Amino acid sequence: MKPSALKRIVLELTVNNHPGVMSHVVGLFSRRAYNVEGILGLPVAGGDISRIWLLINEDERLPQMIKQFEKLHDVKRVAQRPGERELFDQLEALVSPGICNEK
Amino acid sequence: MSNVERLTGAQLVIRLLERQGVRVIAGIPGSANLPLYDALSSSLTIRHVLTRTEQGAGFIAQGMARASRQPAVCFATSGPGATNLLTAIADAKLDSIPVVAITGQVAYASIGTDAFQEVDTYGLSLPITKHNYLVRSAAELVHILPQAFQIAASGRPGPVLIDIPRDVQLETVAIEHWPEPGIATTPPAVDAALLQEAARLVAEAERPILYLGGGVIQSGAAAVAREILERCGLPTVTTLHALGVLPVDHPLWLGMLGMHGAPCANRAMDESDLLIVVGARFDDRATGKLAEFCPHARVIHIDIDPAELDKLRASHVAISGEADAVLQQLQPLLEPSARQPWLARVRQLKADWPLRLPGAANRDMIGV
Repeated sequence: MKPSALKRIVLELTVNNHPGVMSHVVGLFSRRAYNVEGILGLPVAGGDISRIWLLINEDERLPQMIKQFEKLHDVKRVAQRPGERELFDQLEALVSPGICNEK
Repeated sequence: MSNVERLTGAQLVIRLLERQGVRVIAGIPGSANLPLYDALSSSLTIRHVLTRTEQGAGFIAQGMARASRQPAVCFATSGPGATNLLTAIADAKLDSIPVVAITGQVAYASIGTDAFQEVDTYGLSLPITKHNYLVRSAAELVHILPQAFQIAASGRPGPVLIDIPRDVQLETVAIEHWPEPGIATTPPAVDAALLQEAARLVAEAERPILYLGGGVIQSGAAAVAREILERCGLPTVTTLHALGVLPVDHPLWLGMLGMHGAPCANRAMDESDLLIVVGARFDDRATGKLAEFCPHARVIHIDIDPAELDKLRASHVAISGEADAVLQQLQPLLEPSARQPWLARVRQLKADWPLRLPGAANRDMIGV
C-alpha cells in the first residue's frame, strides 16, 4: 500500500516542557522507521507543560506506539484526535509550493 | 540554629547516594567528573571500584543490581567515558536491570561548542535508557537523584542516566530539607476477573506449558511459581533469564526453550494447547518463526509492562502486573491436577529428545 493510501490521524501528547522531550517523542518513531508527517507544539499552563500534535499515518504499529508513549516519564497523557486534522490542513495552506527550492 | 547545609553539587550527589543506601560504585575518573570523585573520597560508607574501562563499570553495576534486585550505580567521565558505558546501559535496558549511571559533562555553558571530551551523552543514551537527565543546576539534583532511583526500580526496571556538567558539580547550594530515598512504586492492583478467566483456561487445558522469564526472578516469584507448577502438573520451560527458577533435575522442567534450548522443550511447546507466559516477552531467540510458534496454544500472558502484552503474540488473557503478586493471587484459584496423559507424553519427549552435550555420553542435562 502506498503511504498516501493510509489513513492519517492526529495524536495529542501532553508533555513536560524541557529540552529533550521532543527527542524522546520522535525517537520512538525514528527507531521504528515510522515517519512523522507533521508536528505542532506549544507550551501550555504557564510553560511547565507543552502539548504536541503529531500527524501520522495510521498503521498496525499505532497501538504499540501509544503504549510506548505512555511509558515515557515526560509524557503525561496521550490521546487520539481524529477530528484535529484541520489544524494541519490550515498549516498546509501556509506552505507555498515553491518553499522546497529555497536552499 | 538553622539546619541549612551548604554543599557543592558533587557533595550533594554523594550524600544523596549515601542516603539511598549505595555502598559500592564502579567507575573511572576523568576531568569532567573529578568534583564527584573529590566528594566521593570523603565518603565513609561508599567504596569505589576502579575498573579498566567504563564498560566494565557498567556491567559491575548490572551484576550488583541483578544479585541484589536494587538499583546499582556506575560513574564515568564525559566523552569517551560516556560512550564506553553505552553497551552496558543498552544491555541493562534490554534485560530490564535497574542501573543508575552518573556521567560528568563539560561545563553547561560549553555544551554544544564541541568542547574537549564533549559528546551528546543525553542524545546518545536516550533510546537505551528508561529515562535520562541533563542536569541544569545543582538545586535540581535534590529531586533528580531520588527520582532516578525510583524510575530505575519501578514497574519494569531499567537503566537511568544522569549527565551532570562539571560546573553544576561545583555549584554551591543550600539544602534545608533532605528528600526521601527513591524506592519502587507499588504496582497497580490486578483485575480479579482476569485472574478467574486465567484459572478457567488452566482448568480447561489438556496440554499446558508454563513459560517463565526474567520477570519471575526479578520479582522473587520462583517459590510461588514452583508451588503452582507442582500442584497443577505444569511442564515448565524457562528463558535464559529464568534459569535457576527450578533445579535442573526437577521432573517438570524441560530446560530452556528456543534456539539455544532443549529439543524436548520445543517439541512439547509445539504440542501444547495452553501457554502460561510469566515475565517473558516472546523474544525471537525463544520463539523462532512467530507464526509457527505454539500453533495450537491459547495464551495467558502475565507481564509488568503493558506494552509487552499483545506486542508479538496475541493473548487470550493478558494480565499486567508483577509476576510474584499475580501468581500469589492466581494460586488459590487453581485446581490441583495430575494431568497424567500429558505428563506421560512429556516424559516420553524428554527421553526421546534430551539435551545432551557432545562427549557427555548418555548424561542427560535435564532430569527425566
